[in-house]
Amino acid sequence: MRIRWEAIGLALAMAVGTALAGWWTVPLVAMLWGLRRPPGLALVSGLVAWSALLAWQATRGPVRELADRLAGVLSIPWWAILAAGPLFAGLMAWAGAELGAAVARRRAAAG
Amino acid sequence: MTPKLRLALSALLLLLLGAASARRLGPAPRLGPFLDPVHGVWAVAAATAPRPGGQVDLPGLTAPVRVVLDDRAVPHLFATTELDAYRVLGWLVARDRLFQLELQTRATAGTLSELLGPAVLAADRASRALGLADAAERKFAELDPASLGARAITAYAEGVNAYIGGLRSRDFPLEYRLLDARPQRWQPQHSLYLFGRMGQTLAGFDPGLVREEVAALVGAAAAEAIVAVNSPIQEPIQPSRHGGPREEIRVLPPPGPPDTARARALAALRAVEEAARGPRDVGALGSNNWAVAPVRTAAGHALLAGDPHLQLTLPSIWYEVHLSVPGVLDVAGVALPGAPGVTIGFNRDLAWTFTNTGADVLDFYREEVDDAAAPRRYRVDGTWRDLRLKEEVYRGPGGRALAVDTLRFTHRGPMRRVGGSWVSRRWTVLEASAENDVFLQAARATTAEEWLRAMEAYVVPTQNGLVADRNGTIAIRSSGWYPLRPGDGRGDRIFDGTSSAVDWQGALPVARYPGAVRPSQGFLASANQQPVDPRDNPAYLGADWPAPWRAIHINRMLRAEPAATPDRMRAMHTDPGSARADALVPPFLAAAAAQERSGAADETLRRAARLLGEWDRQYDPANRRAILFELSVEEAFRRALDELILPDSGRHNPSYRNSQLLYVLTRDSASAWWDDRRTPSHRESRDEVLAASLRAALDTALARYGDPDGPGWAWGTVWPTDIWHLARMPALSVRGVPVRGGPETIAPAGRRGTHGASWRMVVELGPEVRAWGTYPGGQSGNPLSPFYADRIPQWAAGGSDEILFPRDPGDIPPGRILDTITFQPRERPR
Repeated sequence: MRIRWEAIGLALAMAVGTALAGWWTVPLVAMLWGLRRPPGLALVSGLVAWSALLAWQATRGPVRELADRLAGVLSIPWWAILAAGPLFAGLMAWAGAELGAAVARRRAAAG
Repeated sequence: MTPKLRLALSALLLLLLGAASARRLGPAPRLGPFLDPVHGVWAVAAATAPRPGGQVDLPGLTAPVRVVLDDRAVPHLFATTELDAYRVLGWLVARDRLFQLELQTRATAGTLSELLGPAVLAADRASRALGLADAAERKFAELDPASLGARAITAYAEGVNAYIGGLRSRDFPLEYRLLDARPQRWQPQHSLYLFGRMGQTLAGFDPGLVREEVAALVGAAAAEAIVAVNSPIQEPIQPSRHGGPREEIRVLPPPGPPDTARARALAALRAVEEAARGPRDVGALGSNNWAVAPVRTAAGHALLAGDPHLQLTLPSIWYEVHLSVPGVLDVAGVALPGAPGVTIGFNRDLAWTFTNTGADVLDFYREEVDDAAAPRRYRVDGTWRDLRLKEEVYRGPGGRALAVDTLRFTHRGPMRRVGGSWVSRRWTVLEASAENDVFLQAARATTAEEWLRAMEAYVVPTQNGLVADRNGTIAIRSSGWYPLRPGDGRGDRIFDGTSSAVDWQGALPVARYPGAVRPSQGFLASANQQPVDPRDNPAYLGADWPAPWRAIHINRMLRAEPAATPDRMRAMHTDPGSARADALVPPFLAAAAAQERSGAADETLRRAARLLGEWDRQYDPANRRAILFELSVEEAFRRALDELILPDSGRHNPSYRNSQLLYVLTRDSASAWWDDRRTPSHRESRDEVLAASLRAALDTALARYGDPDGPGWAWGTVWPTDIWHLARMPALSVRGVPVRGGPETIAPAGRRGTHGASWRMVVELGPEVRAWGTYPGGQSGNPLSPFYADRIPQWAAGGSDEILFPRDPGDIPPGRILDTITFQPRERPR
C-alpha cells in the first residue's frame, strides 16, 4: 500500500514539474527519487504522470482527432503517437531514477 | 540484470532521449518538447477549443474596436478609424492563419529552407532569382509614409506582431510544432511580398518564350498561328460590334522542320521559370466574372458575380471579413491573408471582382556579358555597363549557410544564366507600384465611376475589374500597366538585349484599356479571354490567350436570361455545361460516321461513337460519359500535334494544349498536321485521326475504369479536385473532392486538379445590398478547428451562404454569434 501511495506521489510530482517547467523535470525528479527509493517505480510513475496529463488535455480539446492528424503526418498508427509520450516519460524516469540509485550506492559505499 | 549493466543502460537511454530532445534529428522535431503533454504538440488540441474572446489589449489602437464573429467564423469589425480596423484585422488573421502568413512570405523571399530544410533550397534559389523580394523591399522604401497604403500595412503588421508577441509556445500552431519552429515577426513590407507573389502567379508567363519554343519545334510560320496574338474565336470582354462569338479561322501552316537544340535551350529557360511557380495548365486555370444591368434582372437591381480561380489550398488563399468604420468604410468580402483591406467584395453602394487579364507584361532579353562564367558587365549599344550584384545566402533551420548565390541585375531586371547564355527580364511585377493603396481606395468608392477612377493607378497583375453599383451601372475594365514596346509593339518574342532600342517606352494610356461602361447588351462577362476584338482595338496586349469557351458559355446563358436572379447567378457558378464540348464533340462523331461510310469502322469505334453520342455534354460528378470525351481529346492532341511534343520529355508543354488549336484543326480536313509522321507511306486524314483517337480513348477507359455504366466512369471519381495543405501534408489535406466542372467549363478542373474557384460571390445591388459567397476551405488555419475545411462540401456542391452585412453589432441575430472580442487601446511598452 505504501509503495502505491509513493508511486502516486512521484507521478504527481512529475506531472506538476512537467506542467510548471517542462518535460525535462521528469528525469530530474526521478533522479532525486532514485537517491532514496527503488528506481523501478519511477517508470510506472512517469507513464502514469504523462498519461494523466494527456487525459487532462483530452478534456480541453480534441486530442484523439489530433492524434489522427499526427498519425497521418508522421505515418504511424494513432495509438502509437498517443502512447509515445507516456512511454518517453516512463523511460526517462526509469533512466533518471537508475542514475540516482547509482549515485546513492556510490555514496553508501564511500560512507 | 547487474547494477552496473542497469546503470550503463539507463545512462545510454538518458543520453539518447536527452540528445533527441535537445536537438532535431533530421526532419523530426525535438522529442521531449514535442511529446510534452502540457507544452508540446498536444497543447494544440486545447488551443483549438472555442475560447470566449473577451477583451484584448492592443497597442496602437486609438479607440476600442468591437469584433463579432458570426456562425461562419467571419469577423465583423466595428472600428472608429480605418487604421484601427487594419490593426485588428492583422491580429485576427495572425490568430487564424499564422503559418500561412509565414509560409507565403518565405516562399516569395526564398527563405523556405530556414523553415523546411535543404529539400526546398532549389525553390528558394528560383524565388530569389526572380527578384520579387528585392523589388518588394525597393517598393517599400519608395512608399510615401503618409499614404493610406503605407500606414495600413504598418498598422496591419503591428496587429500581427501584437498577436505573435502575446503567444506562449504552447499556443504555436500545429505546423510550427511539427517543424519545431517559432513564428517570425511580420514586417510591413511582407504585405508587398504577397502582392509580388500574386504577380508571379498571375503575370508570370511570357508568350514570347512559348512562341519561340514552338517556333523551334515547328517553324516560325506555324508558331505565329499556334501562339497567336489574336484568338481565332473572338468573344471579347469588351462587347464587340459583332454581338456574339466571331470566328476568324485561318489555315494552320504545316509544321516545319524542328530545331531540336534550340528547343532544348528554350525548354531549359522555361524550366527555370517553372521552378519558381510550377507549370501552367491551361485546362484547369480560369477565373470568371459577370454582371447584369437592372434592365435584365427580375428585381430591377444590378447583379454581380465573382469567381476568381487560383490555387486551392488549406487554409484557403482568402480570408472573409467585414470592416465597418462609420463615415469612412463599410466593406465585406475576402482579403488576402497578409494584406490589409478587402480585395474582392462589396460595400453599401457597389460590388467588384476580378479575373486575370493575362496580358504580356514580361519580356526576356539575351544579354552579351563580359565573362560567361561570372559576368560583372553587360553590353548595351556598344557600351559596357556595370551589373548590379547582390549576394544571397541561403540558410537552413539552424542558421547554417547552405549555399551562396550572386544575383545579377541589368537596367531591365534580374539576369540569370540559362544553358550557355545570359538572359535578363523586364517585368511589371518588379516595377514601382502601389496595389495596396489602390485596393484600399477602390473599396471606399460609392459609384462604379469612382471605382474605375481609383483603379487607374493600378499596375500589376493586369486584371479585368468588374464593378456594379446601386445606381444600376455595370462596368468592366482590363486595368494594369501594358508596356509599350518599339516597332510593331509586340512582346511575344525574346529580345536582343544588346540594343536599348528594344526597351519599353512607357505604358498604354488608361483611355486605351479595354473596357465598357453601361453596355447596351445589358450584361458583361470576362473569363480570361482576349479582352478586346482586334477589329475594335488593335493594340498589342498579349498573345496565346486561353480559349474563350467559358466566356461563350457564360454569355450564352446571360443572353438567354431576360430576368436574372441571384439564385440563377449562384447556379451559374457551377453550371456543368461546356462550349468546348459543344464545339469538339461533333467533329469526333462526324469522323466516326465518315469512317462508317467508308467501311473503315470497327465494333470498337461504333461503340465509342454510340457512348459519346449519349453524352449530354455535362460535367456532373455522376456523369459517365465525360471521361470518354476527355480521353478522346487527349488522344487527338497527342496524335495530331505530335510535332509539338517536347524533345526528351515525350510530352506536350501544357501551354500548347490550347483547345482552340484542336478546334481550328478540325475545320481543315486535309491539314498536314493530321498526318502521322511515323507512317511515311500513308497520309492520315482528320477523320482517320479523330476516329482513331475515339477508339483508343474507349480502349483506355475500359481498361482503366471498367464498365461504361459502372461507377468507375463517374466523372467525380475519375476527375476529382485535390485541396492540399500549404505544406502538402496529406493528412492535413482534403483530396478527391468530386466537383461540378471539367476542363474549360465555368468551374474548370484539371485531372486531380489543384486549381479552382477560390471564392464564389454573388451580390445584388438593391436598396439593401445582399450577397452570397463561399470558398473551398474555412476561416481557420488550424487543421483541428471545425472551421478548417467546413465549407468544402458546400463549395463542391455549388452552394453558397448568404453573407451577413450588419450596419452595427446589434444587427447580427444573437443565434448567429459565435464570439465577441473587444479590443482595447493599450500604451505601447516604452
